[in-house]
Formats: sequence, C-alpha cells, structure tokens
Amino acid sequence: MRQIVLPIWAIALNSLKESIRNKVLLSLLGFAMLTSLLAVLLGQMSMHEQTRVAMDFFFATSTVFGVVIAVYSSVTLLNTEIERRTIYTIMSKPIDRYQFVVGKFFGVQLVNALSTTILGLVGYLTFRSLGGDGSNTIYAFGALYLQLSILTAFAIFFASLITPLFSGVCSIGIFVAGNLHSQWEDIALLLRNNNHPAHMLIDGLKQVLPNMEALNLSRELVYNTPIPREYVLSSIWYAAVYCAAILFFASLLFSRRQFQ
Amino acid sequence: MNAIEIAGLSKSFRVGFWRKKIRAVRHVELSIKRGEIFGLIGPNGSGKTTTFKMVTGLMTPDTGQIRIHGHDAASIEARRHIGFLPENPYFYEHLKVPELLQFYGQLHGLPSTTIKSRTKDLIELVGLGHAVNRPIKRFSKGMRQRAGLAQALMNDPEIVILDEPQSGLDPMGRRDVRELIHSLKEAGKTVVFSSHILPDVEAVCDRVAVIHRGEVVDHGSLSDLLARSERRYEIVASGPDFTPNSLRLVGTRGEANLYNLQHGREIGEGLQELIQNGMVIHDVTSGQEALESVLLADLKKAGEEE
Repeated sequence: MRQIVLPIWAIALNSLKESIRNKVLLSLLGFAMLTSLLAVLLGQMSMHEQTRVAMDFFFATSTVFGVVIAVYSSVTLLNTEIERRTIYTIMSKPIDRYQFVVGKFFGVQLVNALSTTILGLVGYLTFRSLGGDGSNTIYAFGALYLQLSILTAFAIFFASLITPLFSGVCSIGIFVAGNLHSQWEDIALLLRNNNHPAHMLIDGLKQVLPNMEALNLSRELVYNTPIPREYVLSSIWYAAVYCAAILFFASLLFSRRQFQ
Repeated sequence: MNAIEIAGLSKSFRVGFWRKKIRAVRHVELSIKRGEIFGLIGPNGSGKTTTFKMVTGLMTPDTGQIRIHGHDAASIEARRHIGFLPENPYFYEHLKVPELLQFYGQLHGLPSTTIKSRTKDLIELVGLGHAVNRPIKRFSKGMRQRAGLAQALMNDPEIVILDEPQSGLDPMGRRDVRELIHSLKEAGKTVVFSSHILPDVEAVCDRVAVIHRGEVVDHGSLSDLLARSERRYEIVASGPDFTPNSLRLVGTRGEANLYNLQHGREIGEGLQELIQNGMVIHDVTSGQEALESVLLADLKKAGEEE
C-alpha cells in the first residue's frame, strides 16, 4: 500500500509546490480578491439588491477564476513535465503510469482546494459585510470545488492526449457545455417533439457530459435556500465517480505514451 | 543470470509532416554481465538514448525483449533494480537537493529514515554539501549533473544506467564521475553508460558496444577491441643522411629525425635498417590506436557494408 500511496502523495505535493511558486496563479488569485471590491461597488449601484448583485457577481467571477486556475494548472503541470523532461527521472522509477496521473490530479485538487477556500472565505466576509446570512457559502463553494474536480480530471485527460492549448480549449468547452444541461434537455425535447433524429445525438451528449449545472449553487447562495443533506452526499458521490472514470481513461492513454 | 539481457530489440518513430519512418534501433542484441562496467558508444543519433529509454521503461520496443535481473523491463519490479541518469537531466527548479532526493526517495516508496540517511550520504558522495540550501535553478550544469547522479543512486540500485554522465562537466568533474563509476563497480554494481568522451570510456569500461544507425556494429571487451587495432611505433634516431625503406620520416625531434613504420613493415626490420646505416636510436615508443580509431573504423566498415 505504501508503495502505491507514497509516490502519489509525493507527486501531488510537488505539483502543489510548483503551482504555488507559479506567479501566474498567485496573480489570478490576487485579481479574484480585487473582484470582491468590485462586487461591493456594483452592489452599491443597484437599488435594494446590493447583497444579491454583489454575491452574484462575486460568485460568477470566482467561478471564472477557479476554472482558469484549474485548467491552467492541470494542463501546464503535465505538459511542463514532458517538455522539461523531468518525466524521465520520474517514470524510470518503480511507479505505474496511473500513479503519476492520479498524483497530478490530486496536486491540482490541492490547488483547487486552496483557491476555493480563499475565494469562499472572501465571499463569506463580503456577504456578511453587506448584511447577508452567508450560511450557504460553504455549500456553494464546496459545489464549485466539485465542479473544478471534474474539470481537472477532464483537463488532465486532454493534456495526456493533445497539445496544452487544445487541452485548455476542450476542457473549458466541457465545463460550459456541462453547465448548459437544462438547455440541452430543452433542445432534445424540442427535437423529439418534431420527430427529428438529431434528438438521439443530444440525448447521447447529455449522458456523456458532466452535469455541472446540478453542482452550481449560485441561486441557493444568493437566496439562502436550504440545501438538503442528500444533495450534498449525492453530489460528492457523483463527482467522485465521474473523476474516477475520467482518470481511468487518462491513465490508459498516458500508459501508451512514448517519451521520445 | 545476466544483469541486462537484450534480444532482437527494435524501435521506429514517425517524424515530420509526412510521418516519415525512422528506424532508431534495429535488432540490438546485448548481454550485460553483473558487476561489469559496460559502455555504449556511437555518434549522435545512433540509438544509444533510445535503447536506454526502452531499458528504463520510458518507451516500449516495437519488437524484442529486455530482461533486467530476469524481469521484463516494462515491469515495476525491473525498475526497482535500476538507477537512471538521463542525458542533460532536468529537475524541479524550486527544489533544493535534500528536497529533490526526498521526492525521489518517496517515489521509490522508501521509509523516511532511509531517505534521510541516503540523502546525507549521497550529497556527500556527489560533492554537493556546499549547495544544500541553494535551489536547483541556481545550479551550474555540472552541479545539476551531480544532483542527477545522486537521484539515480537513491534506491541503492544494483544496475546504474548513465546516459552521457560526463556531459557538461569540467575535467575535475569528469574525474569525479570516473572515480564514482569505479567505486560503484567495487560495491558490486553493474554500470551501463554512454559517452562521447572516448578516453573516459577507455578509462573505466570492461566491455564496450559500438552502436551505429541503431545497430550494434561491434562489441567485446575493451582489451579485445583495442588489440584488433594496429600497433603504432615512433622511432627517434640521428646520424648520417639516408632514406630508409621500412620507415617514413614524419618530422624532427630536436636535431634527430622522427620516423613511423611504413605500412606492413615490422619494427625489427626498421630498427635493423637504421643501425646498419650507422644511425643512433634515441627512443622507441609503441602504443595502440585509441578507442576513437576503433570506433571510426567500425563506423566506416558499417557504412561500407550498407
């Protein structure tokens, strides 16, 4: 067991250190902090809706920054190892290719945990300062973390297959498409009602795409709607199973890779 | 059982826009004995690094088999026996050497007490004691190479594979690597390495394989390879002015003449001719052609055969 877990932990921790030392990520987090100020200012400009507008804006920008950080970390961390050839000294050690992929995933997960914690904390303080309750902040940012986990798994999957730029574009594409789940359903329904065969394609796409929309709690955050315990548990289970499946395929692809 | 057994190894790549097929390694057969120092020599692009990458599991062969202490090279078990230093190694720039070695120790799944003691010993062994608080990004090329050697030895491997270990090192660094390779052999390790610096190969290797365009064109013990090359004599003599038949005047040394043997002539014949003509012989030196000549001859022969 030690032979399996220790290398994964070493790779994950090292990836976190690499990311923290990366100035781009710190700058992104800094910009995210500035948006909290902007959120408060925007809130002040709206009549009787200060808290809602400010939190809506802050959560939306936090999501954008979280997505950029997750995709950037996943794609660059994997690609840098190959480009700088650090991978030669790692993969010649007695570790399996899947351990490297899983280690990288957990490394980016630590980065995601750090960024969502900081963003969530700033969000909570902003919410409270505007007179809001803020009790749903932990759920909203927790669900954002689950979204970022799935996104990270996809980004690592693409990065083990195609170029960094293309991996980034595909990952963000999956995130956007996954957040339009109800719209896909509407399109499928419309096509089905018109007996158009394309509805099968949309149905298939809906099954494959992660349901990111179900993990988006921005409305619950702003309106302080109660979040059932079952929802929390099923969301964690859904994200975990989805990540495991994507990482399985990423490992499969990575194990076929030749380090020229 | 041999340390490394390579049979019928081949590897091709497709490169460029037209996906042109390049045969990097062709039917390589090698047996590397336990406890020997084995050198793989050949020009750039001859297939040395590709062979090493297949031995260390970084690439899978198209055909052929590699056994390391009896284990298939693709298996994790095989890699437990290996320490590998790639050519021009790159490391995480932000790490310091103790952190780097801790990382590689963890990849091997070593207990933390072993990692600590190995780290201390290896830092001393490769002479990086003065740089333990410096991140690798501030290391010179030679220091990186030393750090690379340390990480290759982290698991105290039975087989050490070094791809161009002396590349980028100054003469003192090269000497240190030579001494390290000798000390590894004394400790019972098998050392396999490639190098462009042929005098260094001559200085440390027990056996050598010459690889050219992916094929092993020559191999054997170093003494066998060198014995195959022609003997070379230099004779310094002075005396009456005359032109010997068996010798060729190649220069002067002070007031004396410097002669080489004409092709196909014996040394005794040359000396006798000089003495008979009243010449005084000051010095006779003999030597074998260096490994470089053997390599060049092998490459020329391989080129002619193609």
